[in-house]
Amino acid sequence: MSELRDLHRQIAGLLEIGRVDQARRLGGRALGLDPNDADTLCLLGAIEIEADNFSEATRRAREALARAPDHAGARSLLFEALRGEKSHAEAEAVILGLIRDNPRDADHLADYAALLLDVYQLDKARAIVAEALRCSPDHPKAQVLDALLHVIAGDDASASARLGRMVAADPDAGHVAMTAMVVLSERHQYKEALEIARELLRANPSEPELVDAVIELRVASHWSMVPLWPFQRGGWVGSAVMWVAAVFGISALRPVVGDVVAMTLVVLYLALVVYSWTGPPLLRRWLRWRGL
Amino acid sequence: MKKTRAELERALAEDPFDHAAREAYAHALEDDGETPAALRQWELVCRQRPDSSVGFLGAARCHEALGAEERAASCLAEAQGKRDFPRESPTEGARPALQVLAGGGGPGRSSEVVTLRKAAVRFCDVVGLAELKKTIELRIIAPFVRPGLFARFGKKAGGGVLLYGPPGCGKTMIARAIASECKASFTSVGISEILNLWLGESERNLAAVFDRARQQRPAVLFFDELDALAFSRSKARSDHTRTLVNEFLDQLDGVAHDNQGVLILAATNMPWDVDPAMKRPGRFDRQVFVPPPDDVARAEMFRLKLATVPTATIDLLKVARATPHFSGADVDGVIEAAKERVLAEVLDGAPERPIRESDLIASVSQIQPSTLDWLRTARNLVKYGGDGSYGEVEKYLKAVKML
Repeated sequence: MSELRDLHRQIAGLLEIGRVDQARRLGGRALGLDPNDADTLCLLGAIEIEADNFSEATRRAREALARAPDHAGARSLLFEALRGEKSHAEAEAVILGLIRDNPRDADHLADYAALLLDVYQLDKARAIVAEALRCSPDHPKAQVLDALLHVIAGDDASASARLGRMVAADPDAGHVAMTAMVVLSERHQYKEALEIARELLRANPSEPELVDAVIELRVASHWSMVPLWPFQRGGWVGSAVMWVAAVFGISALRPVVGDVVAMTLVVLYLALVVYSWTGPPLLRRWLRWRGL
Repeated sequence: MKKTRAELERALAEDPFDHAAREAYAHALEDDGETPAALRQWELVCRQRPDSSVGFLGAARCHEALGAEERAASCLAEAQGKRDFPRESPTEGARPALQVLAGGGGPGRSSEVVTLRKAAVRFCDVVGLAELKKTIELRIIAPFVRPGLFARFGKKAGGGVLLYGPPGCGKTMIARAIASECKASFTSVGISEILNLWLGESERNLAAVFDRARQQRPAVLFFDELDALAFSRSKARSDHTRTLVNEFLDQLDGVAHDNQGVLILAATNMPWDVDPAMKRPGRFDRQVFVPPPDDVARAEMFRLKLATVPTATIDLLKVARATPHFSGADVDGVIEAAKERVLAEVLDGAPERPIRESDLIASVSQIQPSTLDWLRTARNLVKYGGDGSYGEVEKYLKAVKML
């Protein structure tokens, strides 16, 4: 039995350092020692989650639950696997069961909030995150979710405050850097966000999402985007304001400045509009091809 | 031709009494650090071939590695009673570079690791990589072999060197060659020798390895898969990983320890997973990229690996050019596929014939170069990450038109 526990520890250690293949090999050995051990099945499921093989992880979690129906680890694993499979309703049923059994468990609350964020139930997610932070004020996942929810709500000040607390607690942690990148980007501090994104990419160069984030932030902070500042800064509201200002401004100016100048302003405005459609995609393609 | 573990497993599934395959499989398990599994295989060999010393010697080595000294001694005594027992070196052979001596610590673990044999690979055994070998000669070997000359120019021997690059491209072999060229004792440390999830044991194992190397200077200490031993603390979820990295840094730092005369080599496929603090001056500050073999080196590999196989006239350079980015392991794969192709034809009733160039070229499409994933990941790093420390990778990617 102690051999099995040793194997479990080794598998957990290998998973931590991302050695999925080696962990899988040891998992096979652990399964050979006791095919009915729920902990082993859970670890095998965790290995599959690490490899993004969610259907196999779900199967492992169900196998574990068939042998130990109240196994908390297996239930958490099933939730994670179902969430990965995007079976949101089933995942919600599992996490609600876990919260019912442990209403003050911040891990479960944060997991539920993440699920609610996946399905854009933002108000409910906000309430659950608040509860998770009440139970465990320094919970890393709950803090990340809190910052993200503030960003989504457009509450930059609260997001920055949350970020400040996270940085003070663990400045080197990857999740803190990721949150900082999102918050800074939402505050239109693209250059700073780009530096963090590149730092994250250096640590995780195989992540395509980070490559996309770096390119997007480089596009946003590129000098050629300066003319598009109102669109970037104001989004669709900025575009609407620019349109109204252009139409009414040029109409109002026409009697004063003459037709030639008015026509030049119209052409300039139209050129800006065309550039706003074509410039960023072209720059994006260029940067993807050429690099930063 | 050495078979892979998967091939040996298949062979054993087909014929469980294939002694040669079982012995080779047990050796492979030992090489991979899976000592308990290797022990089970050696015990099977003992049962299947009770009149041979081979199984008992293997079992003795495994028991020894697992700290079961009494059982090791009894297996060795059993082996000595057999007629084919090699009289000159009972437990030494192509076996682990390390022996675990009895000591304290957690269950099934001991605290000291010592070398059993010296490295025998020379630089001339490493195919290709001429530029890299020159760089290593100048930056690593010469300061070690001629410390006086380098001391006059203010350069010291020893320190840390990190070899990184795609898998299967000879990092470990180069490390062994460096050790032989430096004429130093060589200690190879794999993750299984260090990593132990009992609290504090990994740190003790690591300290023991360093202490032993310091006692044996001039010494080369080689850490394979450094990313596993010095995993980036910002990505780590447990304190265990963080404390191990702290201990590693402490051992490297030379404030409390004198590492003069100890060359610390490490290899990794994932340099980005290594804690950044490990790469700072005084630690693994010299980082050497080991690229996939070039066309000439691959042609030479094909020549060497096909030397014992019946072949027709083959333009090896043409075959090498058809296998861009292939590592040494991939070249093995191409040759194996070509052999299977010829054997399948022969078994279908065709007359026996040697391997032709067309067999090799046709087999190339069956093998995906294992270095490609690594090179694509490294390209992200160079192209978008803006990390200047991967200049050699950038040069290589430009040379092979991947950038």
